Amino acid sequence: MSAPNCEWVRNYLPLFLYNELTFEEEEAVQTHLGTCIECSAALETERQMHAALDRDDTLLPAGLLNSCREQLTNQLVTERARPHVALLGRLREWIDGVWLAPSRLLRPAGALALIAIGFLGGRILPKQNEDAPHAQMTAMTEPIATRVRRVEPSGTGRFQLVLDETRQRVVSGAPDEDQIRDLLISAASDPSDAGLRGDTIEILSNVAPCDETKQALLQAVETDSNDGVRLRALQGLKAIARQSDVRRVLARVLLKDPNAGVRSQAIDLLTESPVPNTIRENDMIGVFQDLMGREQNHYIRMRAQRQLQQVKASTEVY
Amino acid sequence: MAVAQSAGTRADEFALIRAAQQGDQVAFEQLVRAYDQSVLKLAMNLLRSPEDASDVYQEAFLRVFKNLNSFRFDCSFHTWLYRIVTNLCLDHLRKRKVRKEEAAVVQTAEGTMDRMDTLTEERADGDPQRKLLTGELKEKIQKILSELTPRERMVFEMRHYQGMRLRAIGEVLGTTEEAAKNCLFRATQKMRSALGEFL
Repeated sequence: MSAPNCEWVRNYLPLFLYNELTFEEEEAVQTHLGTCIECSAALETERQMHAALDRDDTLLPAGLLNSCREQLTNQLVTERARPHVALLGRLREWIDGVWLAPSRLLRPAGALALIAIGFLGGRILPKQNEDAPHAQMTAMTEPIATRVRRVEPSGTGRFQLVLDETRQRVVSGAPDEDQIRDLLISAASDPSDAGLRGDTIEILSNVAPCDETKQALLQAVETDSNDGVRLRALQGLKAIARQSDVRRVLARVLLKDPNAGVRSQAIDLLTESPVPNTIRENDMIGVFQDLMGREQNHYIRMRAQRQLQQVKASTEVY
Repeated sequence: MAVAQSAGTRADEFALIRAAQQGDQVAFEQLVRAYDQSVLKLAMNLLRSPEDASDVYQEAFLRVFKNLNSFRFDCSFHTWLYRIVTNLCLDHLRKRKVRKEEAAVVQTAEGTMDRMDTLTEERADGDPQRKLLTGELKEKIQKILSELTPRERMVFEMRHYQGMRLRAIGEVLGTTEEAAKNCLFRATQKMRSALGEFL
């Protein structure tokens, strides 16, 4: 293809950043950028726009995924039950017809059919969870807190009291078991107890990361009000700090977190786990440049500056 | 989510789908778990309402459950699922437009706010410094996104936030890669001109 002009290149910059150009188009853009200062500056602006849009990437509200899953499970139970209900209904109608039929000879056949229903029902209907669950639960304790919700007269001088009771239940198991993990994730966002949040985040940090624990750690690192909890969550992200969604959150933490210790750890994770030779990694240039314009902490500035110098990017924002 | 799958993963998924088609509940649940987080995130980003996103999630996976037997592996499961999800989201966005309803916006003591901002504030303890740094730009981005056509917005969300390739996006939306590329191009052009003052 012939040498492109500036207008053509600038039109293609978004697709260039998304890595969506053909080989020839990308070659043409790269060659042009090597010789045109204005278009290189336009690419930098485009990168900044990407970084700004990345910062708007939302985390799912706490508990939404779990509540969706729970609701879906209930709906699926209803859906699965439907054909069985219909089948059993039809069988019952048939049996009724047989049972009430004038001929007494048909009654033994009806009895046999009832036995068959029992047998088939046992085979067809969803089984109760017969497998021993990994997580073990003990029986519920006596209520540890009781509150009277409502009092109603029940006649003859007596009253009916409606009570709200809080009970304790002990559940034990390994943190990688579904039930235990769900409970830990729920505790990790308990707004009333920072100590509990810190403990659970630490436990989650030490299990092999799955989507749910990753989401819980990302949410804690970005939104928890307690510095200690955010620091522990950052520790947990160390093993997955190369993943692009994790890096986007780390970049936001680096730019916004009020605690210098948290920001220091965020920049350590970003710079110690680089993702070389990718377009997405270049998005970090904008973040570090942005940081140079606002960061007061000497260590963080030094790390950002060194990173920018390594990729031969300007350490100032114009 | 990563769209490119290794041969091993594809084989695993094929086996899961086959098992789910034969009524294996655990296999179906595993299929849901493999995709549900990115489905919910796409719906949440597009609709910016936990209630609407939750509705889309339920409806999408129920449709998958009811129609899984008709899935014939003509396309990837991801493409099939996302076709369902994007159609549901497009319906929501179009209905919202027809009703001129700003379901993603709520009234607060501080005036009209994006519903997502109110959620974030609940979690971030309303730190005024954070709010000051990001508030104006976030508001602007939200405004631009809401002004894109549903199709432009869909393509942008899938490319930028879900990391899907334009070819896959074209398949999901039942169009060509070229048409998806044009859509993304228009969306980024609009954003570039609107965000110019912030960059």
